[in-house]
Amino acid sequence: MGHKIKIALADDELLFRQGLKSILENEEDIEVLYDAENGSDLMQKLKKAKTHPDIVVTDLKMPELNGVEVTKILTKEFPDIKIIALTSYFSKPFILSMISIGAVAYLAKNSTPKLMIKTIKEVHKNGFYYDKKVLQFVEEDKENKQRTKSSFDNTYFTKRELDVLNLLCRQLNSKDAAEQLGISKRTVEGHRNNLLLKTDSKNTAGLVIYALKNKLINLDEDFS
Amino acid sequence: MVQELQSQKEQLVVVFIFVVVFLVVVTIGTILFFILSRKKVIQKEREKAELKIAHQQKILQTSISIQEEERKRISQDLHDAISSKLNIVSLSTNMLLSDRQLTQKNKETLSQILDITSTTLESSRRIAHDLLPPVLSKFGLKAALEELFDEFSRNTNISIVYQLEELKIIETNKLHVFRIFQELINNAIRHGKATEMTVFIKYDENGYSMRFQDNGCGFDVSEVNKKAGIGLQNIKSRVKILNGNLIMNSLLNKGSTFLIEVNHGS
Repeated sequence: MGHKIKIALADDELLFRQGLKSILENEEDIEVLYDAENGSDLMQKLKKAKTHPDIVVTDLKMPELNGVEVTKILTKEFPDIKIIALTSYFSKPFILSMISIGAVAYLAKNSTPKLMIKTIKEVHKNGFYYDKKVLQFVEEDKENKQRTKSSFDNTYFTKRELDVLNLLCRQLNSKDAAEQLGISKRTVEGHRNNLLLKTDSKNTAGLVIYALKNKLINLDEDFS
Repeated sequence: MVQELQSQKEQLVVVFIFVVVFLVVVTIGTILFFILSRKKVIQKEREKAELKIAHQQKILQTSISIQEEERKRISQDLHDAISSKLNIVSLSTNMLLSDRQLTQKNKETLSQILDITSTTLESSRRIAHDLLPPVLSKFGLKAALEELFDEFSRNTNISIVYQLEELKIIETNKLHVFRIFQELINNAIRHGKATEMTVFIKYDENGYSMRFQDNGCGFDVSEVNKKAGIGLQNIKSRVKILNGNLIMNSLLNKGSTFLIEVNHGS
């Protein structure tokens, strides 16, 4: 009996909460300790209770204290409790932000009971559960962070490359840039390719951001 | 006799000069009066026009604020009155479906209910999201903008490269910044046929700067300044609400650049 997974629920919709509760209680190895109608209700019940849940399943949109705030408080005050977020938003920044504040799994409110139970069991076993989509987002984010870390100092570029970079950032195409610098269009394109490689950019837009970020051009460049 | 005549002549000349001087003074006076009063009239009219413009700006800004409040209310209602109830329908249907004694026919009907509920939920979610992206109030402007840029570049050949810093400003202003970029991107794609865009946001203790650049077909800045479209008018009003300064730069076939600068003190 002591091996049951202890759960606490938070959702402002009474019927949904009761439905979810009865689904979970149908499972032999899951026990719902208590359920709350919003974040502050949950926190109060948590603080009063002797036994703490292993997992909190919380809705994100709730009055008074919403799921995002609850997650932040829980990870700080009860770091042992795992948090599963119930939501209908699946955009990358949303999921990544949710993970960054401490949620370990993500569930759509209209997922099948099977998936809900699976998620809870996986979280209990491994500490987290990411489905394919979430996993993909996390991977992409890791790649991005690694890429933006590498930054070079100005001497990394030749003077000519900096000239070309400046003109490209001012929306000049290779031909116009070549004319202004008095070199051939092909040379400009060569410089451009080098710049793309060195800054790890895909296009001119990437170059502009690189140049702005590293203060190679001014914010008000192009406004003279 | 001669002397008398002489003095009479002199008197005449004096009178004549006096008359001429008088006439000149009167004419100049009248002209001056007209010029000055005209100037005054023009100045009055200019003041009136400025007042009218300021008033129109005020109306525009107010209507933008009201519009945002309405959007917020509708998206809130959509969630509270529809989405959350549909979630219950979906959950209950799922519960019914797990009953093993169901006939095949009942199962099919329930699955159908579930499908329809899911699609309706998705529509409701999308409408609410278009009205007001929930990520903005929950995770801030940076996450909201990232989401916006992802939405535009996902499954298209449009590339938006960005470097963002979180702005420590009040919620309603964050929403204005969000809408400004939404509009800028929309304009760049729809009118400029742009494929590459950059967004750069910098924040420090003095204020913040936002730079948007696209590789679209550009526009005539003076022409647009004279007669801005609704989209740009909207951007200008929101920049005004932010107490900021908007500089546009564009050349035909050379893309366009927008710089918005806001000082905390202003």
